[in-house]
Amino acid sequence: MDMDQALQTFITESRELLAEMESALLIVADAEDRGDAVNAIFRAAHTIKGSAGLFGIDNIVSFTHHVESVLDRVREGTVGIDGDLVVLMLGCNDYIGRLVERVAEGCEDDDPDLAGEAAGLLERLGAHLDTPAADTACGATQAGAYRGDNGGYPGADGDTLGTADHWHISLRFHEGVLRNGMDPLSFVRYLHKLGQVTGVACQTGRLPPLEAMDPEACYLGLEIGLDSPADKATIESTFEFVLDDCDIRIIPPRSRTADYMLMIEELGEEPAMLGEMLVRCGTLTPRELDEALRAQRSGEADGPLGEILIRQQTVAEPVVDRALAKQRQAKDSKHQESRSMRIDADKLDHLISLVGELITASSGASVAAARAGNAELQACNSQVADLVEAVRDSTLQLRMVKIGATFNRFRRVVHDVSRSLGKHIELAVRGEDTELDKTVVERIGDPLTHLVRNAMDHGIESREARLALGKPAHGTITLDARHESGHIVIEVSDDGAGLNRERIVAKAIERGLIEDGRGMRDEDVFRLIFEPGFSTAPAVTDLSGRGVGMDVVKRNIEALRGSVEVFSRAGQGSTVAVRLPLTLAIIDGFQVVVGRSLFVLPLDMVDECVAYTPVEGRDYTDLRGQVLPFIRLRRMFDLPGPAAARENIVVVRHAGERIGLVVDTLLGETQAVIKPLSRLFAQARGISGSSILGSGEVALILDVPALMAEARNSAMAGHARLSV
Amino acid sequence: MTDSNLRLEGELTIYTAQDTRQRLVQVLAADDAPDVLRMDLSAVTETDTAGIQLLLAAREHARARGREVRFAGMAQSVEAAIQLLGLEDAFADARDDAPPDAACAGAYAGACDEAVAPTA
Repeated sequence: MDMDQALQTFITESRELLAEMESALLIVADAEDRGDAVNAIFRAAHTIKGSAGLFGIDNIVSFTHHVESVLDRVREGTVGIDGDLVVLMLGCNDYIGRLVERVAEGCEDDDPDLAGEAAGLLERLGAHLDTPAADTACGATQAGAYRGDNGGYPGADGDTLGTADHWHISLRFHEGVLRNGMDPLSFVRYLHKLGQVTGVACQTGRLPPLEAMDPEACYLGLEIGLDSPADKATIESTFEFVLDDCDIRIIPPRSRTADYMLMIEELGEEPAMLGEMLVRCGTLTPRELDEALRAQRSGEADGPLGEILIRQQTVAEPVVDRALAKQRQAKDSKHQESRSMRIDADKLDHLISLVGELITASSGASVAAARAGNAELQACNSQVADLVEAVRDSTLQLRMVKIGATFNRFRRVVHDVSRSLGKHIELAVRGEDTELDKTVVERIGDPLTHLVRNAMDHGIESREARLALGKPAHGTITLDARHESGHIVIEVSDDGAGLNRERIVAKAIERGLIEDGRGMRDEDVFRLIFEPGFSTAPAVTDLSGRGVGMDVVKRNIEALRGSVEVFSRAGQGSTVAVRLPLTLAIIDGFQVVVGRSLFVLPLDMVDECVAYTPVEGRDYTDLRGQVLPFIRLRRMFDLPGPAAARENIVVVRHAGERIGLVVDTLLGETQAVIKPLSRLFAQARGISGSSILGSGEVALILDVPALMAEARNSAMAGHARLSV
Repeated sequence: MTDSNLRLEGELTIYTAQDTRQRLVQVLAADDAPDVLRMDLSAVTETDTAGIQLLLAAREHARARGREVRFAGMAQSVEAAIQLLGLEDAFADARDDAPPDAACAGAYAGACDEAVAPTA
């Protein structure tokens, strides 16, 4: 139903606003020019309050109102921003977030735990307002604050009662407003919260006969008189969601009678009737109305009204235009590219899978055309294949999101964790514009969080230790992302103490992972920290050090067909580099044959192909003067049959290392739609998926990093490879 | 003068608007339509603008044919909606029972009650 859709929009936008508010809160204490940040925080809270009011979500409205009151004081300068206020505001931000989530889940009843939390927060907020506990009592009863306790003047936070001005609001709803999920009743209800409604008059002239009307359309208009200390922005913001479905005119306080006549003129309705409505609203007195009507009828009004028209344009801009301009402005500042769309994730996934099928079908058509030997058919299919490839690239692009949003989430993590550790740690972010697949982004969050917490907890030394070493007192965590040969590389670096090689070796020996650390390269020692149950933290802190972390991180990353590596310099810091493929769905592949089996290699890892001339007893070959170790796939996968007379080596490259794969035949480039292996084959090493080729045959996709690791392991274990 | 009663139950909102309009048209447009149709709204659980519009349109429909639609037993939700929209006068002389005190601020609070879950 449309109402649900509008509510969905509210939930999504509230989440975004809360995220904006959080970002602004994290920088406001240190910012040079606080004004912008404070305004951003206030705006976010204010908008959430307004929108919640439209949907009648009173608990959010009343809580956010208290937050707003404190923020108002901050804007005025009567309350200063310090670390504690930021923490309090972050707490409020979290609480509002939980209320929004409850709305999203459809929970209607109250949660006593949440109410308790609210009471605590409200009490601390109240301290900044110097208001007695009366406010906190209201807070706990949610909408109570608005029910006559303050006389319906939310602007009065106990101290000063702002002078209430009289506003006149004229609303002419369009027919579609009800269908779009908005109801005039909720606007009136909300205005009751902004002040004292002096009168409401309903314009029913447009209502068609019963049998002719559309029961789901709206034919009503409203004239409303409102006494309120609220400012124009607040009153205007009431109608932010309904600008497209309603003609709105707001006449500010201390307007002249002529201004009202101008509005009447613009509305084009019967002046006398309209005038009656204005009187009913308490906006005009009967005498003023008489005068105005008389003036208009006698034509005196033409002159002055005309002047007023010009003055109107400079003084009281028409509400609708201003609101639209404001809306446009807000939108532009929010999205750098003002043209973007929200897309349902499921629809996108469906499209991708259809494109996958399309690729397979197109391959099949090409194969069939080749077999038929029809030149024209082949040419046409080649065109189709090119277009399909273009569609594939475009579609995959749709799934790419910038990693910046994920990185920025860590600001909060770093802020909170550094406070709890008592260390001063800053976060530097680079490569925010680097894009990666949406599913990868979702699944990389947890591993990254662990890596960041680890770096903060174990990597960065305490303030004293750092100063003693001549390092700056604050530590820095750096997040970096870049593209590298078909992969995305994400690095978490810290400028802390670096990994302690001796301690790692000692622990590994203790756990029976290795016998002896001598002769091991540094990178092999560091790789040990990814073994399950490994932790060198002398004390298990709350965050990490329980030893369940790094191996889970490695497993999660490998589940994404990625790899992880640690680099470190004692005393200088460490870097954890996570490598992930750019896309999980479709790859450009290179097909090879070994025996009767078909394999596909990711094309971006293939460097070159050379003919293979076997040398007795050797597992490496001479490639232009350089040693190239190789793996015989036939042996690796235990494939039956004798080796072909002529074999080939495909040289693949990953993470700076090169290795050769010995195969029988090279078949060339192909596009492969990756189908994941079922759980039965999860143990298979060296295979990362399967693909159905155009010919209908199944090819196995080789996991090059895994093959390289295998080769490395067997070399380390000292197996001698015998050539056949 | 023929009288007739019509009882509306449940939601009087956009979700039931089509059906309700159908019922009203059937009753009011029949050849043997009553001179006075008494609508019992005491069992209405929820009202929105669409619902109020139907009541207004029904009133007008009858009036145009020299007949009348009257209301008895207004449920709280209907009262609240009428007050919020400033339509007390439009319904004033159509009621069989006395309207609540319009100046009672409780009516507005009542309107708010609909939107708020009961407090803990």
